[in-house]
Amino acid sequence: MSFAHKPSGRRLPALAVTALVHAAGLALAASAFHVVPAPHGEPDGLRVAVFPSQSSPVPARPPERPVRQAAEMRERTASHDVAGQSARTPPPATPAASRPAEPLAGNGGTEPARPVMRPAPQPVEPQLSGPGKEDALAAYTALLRQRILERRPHGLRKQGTVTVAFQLDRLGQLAGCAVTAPSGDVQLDRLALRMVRQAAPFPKAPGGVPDARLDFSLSINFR
Amino acid sequence: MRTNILLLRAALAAGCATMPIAAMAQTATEIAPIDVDTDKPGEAAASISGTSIDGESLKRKQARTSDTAGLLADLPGVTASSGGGFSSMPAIRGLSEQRLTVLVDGFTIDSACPNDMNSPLSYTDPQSIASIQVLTGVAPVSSGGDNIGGVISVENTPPRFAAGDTTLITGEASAFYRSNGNGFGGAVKLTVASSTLSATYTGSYSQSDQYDGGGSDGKVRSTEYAKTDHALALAYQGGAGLFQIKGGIQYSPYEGFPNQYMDMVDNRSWFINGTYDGYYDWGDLKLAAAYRDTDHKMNFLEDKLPGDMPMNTEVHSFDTSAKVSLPVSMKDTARLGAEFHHQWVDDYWPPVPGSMMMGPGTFVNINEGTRDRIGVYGEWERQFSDAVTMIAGIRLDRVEMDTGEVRPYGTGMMQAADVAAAAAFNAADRKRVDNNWSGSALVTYRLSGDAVLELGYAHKARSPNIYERYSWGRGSMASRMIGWYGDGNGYVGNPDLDPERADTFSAALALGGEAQGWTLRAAPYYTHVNDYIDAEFVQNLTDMMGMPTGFVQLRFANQKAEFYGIDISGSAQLARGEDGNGTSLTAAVSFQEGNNLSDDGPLYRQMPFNAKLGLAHREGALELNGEVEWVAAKTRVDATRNEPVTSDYALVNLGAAYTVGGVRLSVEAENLFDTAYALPLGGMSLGDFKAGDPLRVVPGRGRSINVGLSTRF
Repeated sequence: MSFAHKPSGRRLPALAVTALVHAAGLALAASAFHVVPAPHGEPDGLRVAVFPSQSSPVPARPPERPVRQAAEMRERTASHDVAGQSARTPPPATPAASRPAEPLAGNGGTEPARPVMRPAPQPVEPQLSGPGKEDALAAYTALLRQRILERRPHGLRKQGTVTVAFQLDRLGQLAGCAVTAPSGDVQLDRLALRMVRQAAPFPKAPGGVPDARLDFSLSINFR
Repeated sequence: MRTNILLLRAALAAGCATMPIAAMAQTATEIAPIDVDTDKPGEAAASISGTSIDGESLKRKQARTSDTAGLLADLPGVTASSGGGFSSMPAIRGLSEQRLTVLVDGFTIDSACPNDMNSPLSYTDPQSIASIQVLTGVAPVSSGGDNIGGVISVENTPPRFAAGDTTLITGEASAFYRSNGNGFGGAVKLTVASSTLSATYTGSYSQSDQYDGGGSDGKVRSTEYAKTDHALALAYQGGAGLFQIKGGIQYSPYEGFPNQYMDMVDNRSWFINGTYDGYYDWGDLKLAAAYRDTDHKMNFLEDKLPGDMPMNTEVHSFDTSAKVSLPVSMKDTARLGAEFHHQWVDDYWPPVPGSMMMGPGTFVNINEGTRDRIGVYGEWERQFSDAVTMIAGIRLDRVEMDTGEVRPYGTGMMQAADVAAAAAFNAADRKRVDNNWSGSALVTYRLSGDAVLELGYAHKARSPNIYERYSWGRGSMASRMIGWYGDGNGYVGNPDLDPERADTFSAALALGGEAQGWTLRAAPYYTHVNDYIDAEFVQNLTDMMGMPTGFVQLRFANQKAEFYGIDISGSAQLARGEDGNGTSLTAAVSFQEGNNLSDDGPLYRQMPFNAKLGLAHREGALELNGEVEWVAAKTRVDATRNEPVTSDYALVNLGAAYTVGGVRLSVEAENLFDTAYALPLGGMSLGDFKAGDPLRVVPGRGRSINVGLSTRF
């Protein structure tokens, strides 16, 4: 059994430590992250079949916000990285800030999605035959999931769950990526981010997927 | 207050200035969770011929022994050659400790003794170990160089952090008592951590008197010991990495060695090490550095008195490494690394006042001997498919050794052999440089959901250690002070030794799994060693009257050797309940032989066929277990060393444990029937011999009632 208690009072040292941690994190990000080569144009001819079970409608969720300082710090370092990355990639077709907030198109899309093919090496817009936006979204998220899954690490000896949020532009370029619910282990958090970043660039978003739905949240369970 | 506000602003600015991806949070589209399977303790690691022992399993056994290597001998393919009470030397598939990579918290620890009394695992305590990984099969070159066998890796204090904005205070405490030898000890581990900072203290103490053998074997002399270990580990995680720094001490005031002429009368060692683990998008980076200083003293404890013969050894070690792991594609990972290890040894034997043989000067055994190793490696791991994985690598280790001039106690007639040997040694060029190439390849093939096959090949090389090359004394007494074989023979070093070069073929087939309720593993292997460092006959050793003692003087020599065998282990769930309740059966057999191909005889200290059967039952807070172990007679013995045969024996252990209020109380009857038996890898019982008893093999422990208490908080 273990016990924990909330720190109380003594905000000054906490703030000082926070500032130091932030500064260290930023320094690390600045020194290390911009040497990261963004994986472009995956040469492997990947064929992905969408899982029928993933085609159920995705419920609209309330906005997820980073809940902890540690998460914020990782988000910022991640953002720093993303900034470096996006500087080398074409600008998004539609700036995120100007995207209209499209509501979900009902609860349709319950029929199984069709297999999606991604010709290599240049990502192109998948051919979707589903009639509704939910179909297109479900197929697209399944495709993203598969791409990220393929980047999973092997040989780990740790357990934990990390929730990652990431944002794409319509071309499938990664516009942002951050840990929103850390596992408590920096290695797992970083590996989760790496999975998403290395899976990018993703295929273009199908026409049926609204811009507002290009923000994604994904939990990765290291079990 | 103003300062507070300024700091708050600074923190906020630092936190918010770099474009939080605010837009992201508007309407996150949820993707179905991804499960990433990891290796669990006790399950197959990257290599299915590897095994890991988790802290829980160790805790259950900590009441039985303070000897980590002794615990490892429960694993198929691993044996323990007797040393002191906490200094057994592990062997994997017949290859002795000096031929393995033994890591403690990721670092190698140099032996600092001509008898290997303070072996690397003697710096660990079963009470405070978090986990042990053992690779019995082919080990990838990234796991270490300068070895021809497997890998043992002990982790003491993996850092723990709090979840969220809390302070984590947690720890463990344990204590034990063993009736045979009146052994007792205890350990504490205390961690205080936030989500980013962690501090862990570990401390332990163990001591025991001499133990009694089974039946009528009586007291086994020179088996007492005492030691204490203390360490403080600090860790910080944040940004993209994990920083760790750890320092500690060990002090052992005495440790008897039943199969050596000497005992350890004082061992003090301190260390400090630091590591950085960085996890970047381009891959993982690990930087590490360590320093250890050991002062080791030998003389006689009570069972070997009267007498006086101080022998002192000082060792400094520095170790550093840089390793990267690069995921170069979806299917490929490259690993690159560079390591440097420096060892410095001073070994001298002060004069004994009034002794004509051991005086008037100091006997300089090793004069500032150095052994520096630089290693570089490259390794490639490829996932050909979900079913097939390959790891292949190559490495180069450059070992440079040198030592200064030596001298005997004096120049008297009784010291003539050592006088001549010292003169020859000093006149020779003693610097040696070896460039050792190693390579390994492992293929793992998942045949089906419950069948995995692993095939491995490795060519590995190991340079001689300092004592193998630079022990120079030719006198009877001087040579009998050298050697970690426990056979009573004298050993002379050989500066012209070449590195050992081994080719190993191994396979492992793992069937079943936890879900199926049963497992079965079979792992055959064959190793051929060129320039195996064995020993050749020099002369019979005689007593003061010129009569043969039955012991011989040997000189280290390169020979050829082979090892082969198979390890089979399995388990079956006989009944399975909720929350880990149930009944399980485990079994393991090991068959192994080692041959010296130069003299066509068996090799020294090769464990005979052995089998173990265990039954465990758990029902809520109650745990019951029983074990039967049978070891065949050892008839294949090394004639060069006059190795004795040993008889077969069977041992029965019964245990029970009950957990109440978070405290686990265990009681165990070890060697329930008080069976008398000779340890097949025990060596000669020189402590008993010196006390006037007939020469015998070191007996195993008789019945002992072991009581353990442990808790977590």
